[in-house]
Amino acid sequence: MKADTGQRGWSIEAEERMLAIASPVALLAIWQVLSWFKVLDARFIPSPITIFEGGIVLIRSGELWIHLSASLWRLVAGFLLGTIPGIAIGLLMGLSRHVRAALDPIVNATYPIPKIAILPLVMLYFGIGEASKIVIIAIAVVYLVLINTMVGVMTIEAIYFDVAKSFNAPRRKLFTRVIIPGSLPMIFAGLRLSLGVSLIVIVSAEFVAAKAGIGYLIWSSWETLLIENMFVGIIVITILGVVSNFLLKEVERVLIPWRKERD
Amino acid sequence: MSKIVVRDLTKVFHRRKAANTRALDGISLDVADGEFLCIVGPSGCGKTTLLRIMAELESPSTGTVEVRRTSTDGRPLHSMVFQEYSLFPWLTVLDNVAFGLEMRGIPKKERAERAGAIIKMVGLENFREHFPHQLSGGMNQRASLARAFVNDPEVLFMDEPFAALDAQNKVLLQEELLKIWESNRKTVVSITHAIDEALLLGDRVVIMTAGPGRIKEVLDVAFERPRDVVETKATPRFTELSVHIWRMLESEVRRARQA
Repeated sequence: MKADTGQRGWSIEAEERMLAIASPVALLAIWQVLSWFKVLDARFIPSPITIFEGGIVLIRSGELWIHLSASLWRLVAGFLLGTIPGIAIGLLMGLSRHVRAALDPIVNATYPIPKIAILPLVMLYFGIGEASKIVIIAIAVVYLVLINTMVGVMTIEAIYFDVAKSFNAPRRKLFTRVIIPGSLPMIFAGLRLSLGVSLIVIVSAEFVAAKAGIGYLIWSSWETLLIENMFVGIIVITILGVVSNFLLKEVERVLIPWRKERD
Repeated sequence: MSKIVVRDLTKVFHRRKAANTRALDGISLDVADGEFLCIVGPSGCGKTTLLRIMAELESPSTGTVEVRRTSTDGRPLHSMVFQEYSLFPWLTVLDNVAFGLEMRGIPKKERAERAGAIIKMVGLENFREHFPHQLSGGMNQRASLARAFVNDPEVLFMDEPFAALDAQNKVLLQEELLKIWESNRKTVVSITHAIDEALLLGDRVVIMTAGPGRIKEVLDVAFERPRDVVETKATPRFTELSVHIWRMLESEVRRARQA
């Protein structure tokens, strides 16, 4: 019996990893071949090799790094500025019926507003410099973390509070030993959503109001019809998303060691 | 001497949109120091509510509960073994078992020693650093028992501690519980809907009526101790008492089904 091996005798895991790598590579190869045979119009869809060369030029000139570092700094600052208060307010709302009653209507009413819609206002209040970009990311992510944290606290099963009470847990211990670990998986779900949203928001914000950044790179390349540079920008954003998601997962693995491993 | 005194206890649950429910009605009960008392009743008879009120997790509507403190060494007055999965999923077996000690501010080293000893007693020494989801249901429940025992309370409350276990694990765990209890003779109040479990473990068995919960009969079991789970079950008196309790409960269960 070879219960854990796939068709070629590899482990299922190795087989899945092979497929995960092979399918995008195959897609790129097809794209390249179609470009060679001029099925794809190079004026609108440059070949992967052209995009790659464009990327190398941008890296050599140092231009890519300027855009990347500008976006990264805004992302990190905005993420922290949004998630830290988000977790704090979410915990308060989860724990206190009164805080929840007071804030829930405000959160519900303002959450569905597309955050990019208030960018002009944010720029009016925070200027057209870095502050407005950081603030708009913070506003976009604060809701996601806040709502997830609140739900995380509220869905901690009642029996764990009973156990804590029956062992006379002091308030501080109740917080550190029950409430925080109990809501941590949901807090991380909120953080993961926030990563994606902050990438969307930063690129949109940089389209309209920036002199540097990946969004600016894409938009200015559109204005000058440097199509391959637009693709470079998109690829950089993709890599940013993948890498940040990976890092967050690693942090999660360390902080939530009790989580059941799923396939 | 009475360790726990319950007088004229009632509990009425007030609901927003439905009629109020009278869960307990006029319960008076004395539990002697060092006694193992079992409470049986049909589901929904309020036995869990009674236990939770005794354990100060809920307050009575009227009446009083007094758990008398007899020690002066700072031991907790009571601890509870909960139904099914009550271990914290985010703590290891060791940290779960030591939870009560940690809450009392006992230093980490002493916690590990005391919890380690009892973990060994319940046969989980190879799983100290495991998380609850990595263990079977029976092992979880053993750790729950250990968590309550290591706290060394004057009174131990148990809420259907074996309800979630399969038949074989139940017998093994009951034997372990009897062994531990017979070595320290704490006051225990345990509720169950299993008649044989009440007879096996208890010095006395309290039979409750279905909603509102009242005490129907208090039965002296008086099997000799130390008890052997399997042999005790094989005695004619055991059968006789089980039939008696079943007859008492049967009418209550039928009444509860019609309500």
